[in-house]
Amino acid sequence: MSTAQPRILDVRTRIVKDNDRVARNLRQRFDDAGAFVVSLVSSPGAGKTTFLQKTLTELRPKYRVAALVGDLATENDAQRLAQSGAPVRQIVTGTVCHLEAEMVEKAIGDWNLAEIDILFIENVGNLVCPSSYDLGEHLRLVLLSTPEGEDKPLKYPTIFNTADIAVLTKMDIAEAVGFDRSAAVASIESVRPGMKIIDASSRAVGGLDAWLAELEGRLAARRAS
Amino acid sequence: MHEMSIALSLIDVATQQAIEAGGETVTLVEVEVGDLSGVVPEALQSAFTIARAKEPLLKSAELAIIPVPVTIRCHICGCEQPTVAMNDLRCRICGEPSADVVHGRELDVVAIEIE
Repeated sequence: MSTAQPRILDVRTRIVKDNDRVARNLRQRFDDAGAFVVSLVSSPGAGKTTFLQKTLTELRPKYRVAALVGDLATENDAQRLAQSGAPVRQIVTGTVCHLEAEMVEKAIGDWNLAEIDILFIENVGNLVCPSSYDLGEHLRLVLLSTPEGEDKPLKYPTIFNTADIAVLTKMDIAEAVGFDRSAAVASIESVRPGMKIIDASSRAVGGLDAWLAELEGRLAARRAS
Repeated sequence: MHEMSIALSLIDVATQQAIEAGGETVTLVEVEVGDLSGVVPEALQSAFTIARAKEPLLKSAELAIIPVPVTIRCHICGCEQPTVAMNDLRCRICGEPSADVVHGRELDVVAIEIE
């Protein structure tokens, strides 16, 4: 029978340290292979898949692109994205409401990262849980669609605060849904001062031009450094 | 909700630390949960109560959660202050917005008590 006195140990350890470690290793692999990795988060129905499908289609003539997409069930999104002609793999999470680094590592599998210029990772549609998990990406986009409401960022500050760029999608129907762009910008500015905001419409001709220019600018800067 | 996944990870961390220190039982785990960590303290507490039953070293451990409010560094007045609100990152002193988050993203096991 133990008669030991209780001891208190100061340990300061990140709870998600295992995910962090896998994510860091992934990021190093991506850097070594010269692959630029972009992830996308949003609520379900904000237009991630359509945005990504059009992005892949526009970029394919110039860049070697690939995508991973996470969903609880079905391979529907992977099939949509594969219409672009880019290599795409589906991650079916079952009941897990977010992607984690280990899932990304497993999904990449035998892909030769040196043959990929840009890898896109579409997270499960969820504005809450993905914020806690680094996937090893270089850039994280949060999509907010015009029908969702201008104060969405105020309700979900964490996901906006942990992303790098806010993309306002479905701008082609902004007027029809009464979207107040300056109110949305004010909300975003409140939760992440100085956050870059890009307007997009996956349906309008040239509707992704601003996003593609931003992406290509970042790629060029990376290659120059 | 991913608090069960977080609870399982925190139990792993506490178990590893306890074993390394030669402890037989963990009686208390202290964690810091920042307002911008993406984790809800009450949900984590509930998940922990369920998850600890499966880990012999933590079966009777209590979980103490220390919430950490968002603190920003203000570049105008040079101070570090808790923000107006977690979704309003402005300095309380001068009202200037700042994205420089100094505290509030913590999701850490900070201490364990072992026997």
